[in-house]
Amino acid sequence: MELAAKLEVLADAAKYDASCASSGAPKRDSRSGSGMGSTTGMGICHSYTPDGRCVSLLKILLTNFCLYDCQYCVNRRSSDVRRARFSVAEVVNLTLDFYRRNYIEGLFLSSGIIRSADYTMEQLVAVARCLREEHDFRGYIHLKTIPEASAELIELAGRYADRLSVNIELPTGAALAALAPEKSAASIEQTMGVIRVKLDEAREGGRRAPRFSPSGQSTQLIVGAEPSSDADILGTADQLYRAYRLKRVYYSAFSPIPFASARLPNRAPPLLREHRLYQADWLLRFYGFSVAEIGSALVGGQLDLSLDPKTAWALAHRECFPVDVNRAEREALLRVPGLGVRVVARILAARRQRRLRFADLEALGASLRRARHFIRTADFAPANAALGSERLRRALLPVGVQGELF
Amino acid sequence: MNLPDMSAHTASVRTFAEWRAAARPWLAAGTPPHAIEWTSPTSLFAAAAPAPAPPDAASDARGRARAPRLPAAAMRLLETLTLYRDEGRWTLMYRLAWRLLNENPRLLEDAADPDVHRAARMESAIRRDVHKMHAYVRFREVVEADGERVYFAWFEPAHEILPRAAPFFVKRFANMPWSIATPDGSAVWRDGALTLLAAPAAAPRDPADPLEDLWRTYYRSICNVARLNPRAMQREMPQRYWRHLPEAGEIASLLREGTQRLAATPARRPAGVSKTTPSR
Ligand code: SF4
Repeated sequence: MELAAKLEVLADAAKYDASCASSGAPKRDSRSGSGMGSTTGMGICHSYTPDGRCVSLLKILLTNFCLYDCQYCVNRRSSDVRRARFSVAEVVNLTLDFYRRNYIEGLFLSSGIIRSADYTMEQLVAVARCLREEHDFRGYIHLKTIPEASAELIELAGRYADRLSVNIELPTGAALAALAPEKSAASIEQTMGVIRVKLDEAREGGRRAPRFSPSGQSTQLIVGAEPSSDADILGTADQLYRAYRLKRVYYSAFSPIPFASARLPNRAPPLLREHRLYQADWLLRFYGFSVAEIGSALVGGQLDLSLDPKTAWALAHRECFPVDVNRAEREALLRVPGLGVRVVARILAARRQRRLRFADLEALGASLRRARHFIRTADFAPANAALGSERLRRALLPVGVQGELF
Repeated sequence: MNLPDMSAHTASVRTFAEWRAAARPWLAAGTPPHAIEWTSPTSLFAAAAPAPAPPDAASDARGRARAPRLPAAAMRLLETLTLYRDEGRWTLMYRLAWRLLNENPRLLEDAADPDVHRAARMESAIRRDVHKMHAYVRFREVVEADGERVYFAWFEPAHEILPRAAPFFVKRFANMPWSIATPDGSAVWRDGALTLLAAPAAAPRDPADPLEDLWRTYYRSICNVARLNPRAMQREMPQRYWRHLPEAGEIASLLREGTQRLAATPARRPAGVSKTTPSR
């Protein structure tokens, strides 16, 4: 098979993985080396596709042949999809050729499981090793870790990769048993556990410890392929963040796949659901919310699709508002719909200079359409403090199709 | 019309160093912002107000001795504003410097102040422009007569950021000969040295690089046309960059494919999704 045809098959097979981040790697560059590549820490999106997603890494499978039969996956053995397999050298050259033209930040390599978990993992590691050792490639490498691969291989993968990930895909053990019979939550979590231990060792060992996946580990959960609720999903995410110190949980709205199993829904869940989960995840990680607090604003275990979760929480907790912009603690300001982390930082700096008035907030970047109902300033208090929540809710619904983050 | 002789002083400057040399004695003398007319040499009044001679060491030292000092963060901000492609930048820079020295040394912390707000917007436009240049430069490989492979790119940044954006490419491609041409000048990296040429360049017509076909294949295959979100794409990759991107030629047909597929399935895209997923 020609290289272009393989690329077509093996990129197509990789596109259901939402992760494309190239951030978090330690700063390094090619000036002291013989090859090419650098990482800046924040990652770069080199292109965007019409699905709105960032193209940062060459995201491909080494092969889409697979022994497993995960129902949600286009590569499962019972699917009729076209199959292909790259050689190690092909992936290495493609990465270098794309990188050199400034198309990508690096490589995200995953694979179907062929022969055994260890054999597959060995192949992935061979690509990363060749890039790093033979070509002195200093760009970003993300390797998918095959559950049940040996600890030695995982250690080797972590030496070359900036990030490792193991996809748990389904939020409950029961869903996994039903849809991915060869996989088990226990073995996936065990692999995450191995990675976490090595991450901890690398951190505690400081400079002398062997390098291990400096940008940490991540995972992905598919949303809407089975009946798990948002409460289940966020609960699992939160537990994974804590137990394995994940950098990111990606949520991927189930996308009907070609050759789909009859046991899957034949339509996609609203993309808005995925978006709301990301917003809730953001609240967990950067806004000091607990799962229980987000849960207090869920209806039937689901996030409100028509309002962002922070606004939904604020409406359910009117007693916490209005917040005085000139006096409130950072934590309280972060709870105000329409004030993001950066805006709050600006407010804290600006109010050390003088008392803030309502008009100042716009210049500071606040979204007043939402914030105005929940704040007080030197010259302003919300007129609708007594408004029933239902009317306020209607006032807060997004205008037209404009969606909003915080 | 705002004639230059309506102000007590005029200065025509092109670079941060020139602006600083001109501003220093005025700042030391406490000359208020409204008394100075700032222009760039390309502007209408360039002839009326010749650029000050490049500061020689002696006058520079004298200026430094007399000039009040600004905090490093303020200097960095002012230097960044130099890159903003707008005639008003020099005036704003002077006003900020003057106010920092005469009104409030912590002025920059007040993000709601109109001057600080405008400077912050300009600074973030510069940061974004530099970031987009790092992202959207596309090199083409050309094999020279002696067999050496060299890499060329043509790029049109919104602001005058080439000197700010070039070091990134040095770090990333230190062992590869490359050059980037822009309408404001070029950056050339050869044998471990970066040269910035001020002469404006015209868009070169390099032969297409055969690898671009593979890149387009990748772009087509990685896009999930079952979930189109062209608004999110355009917000991050506005159309003005498309002419630099070999993959942009695929956008129209991917959109068509996705729309046809959408028409064929019952699941409708809901209103309200517009932001991309935060990708950190
Ligand atoms: S193991 Fe991975 S590639 Fe194979 S069927 Fe399951 S999800 Fe797909």
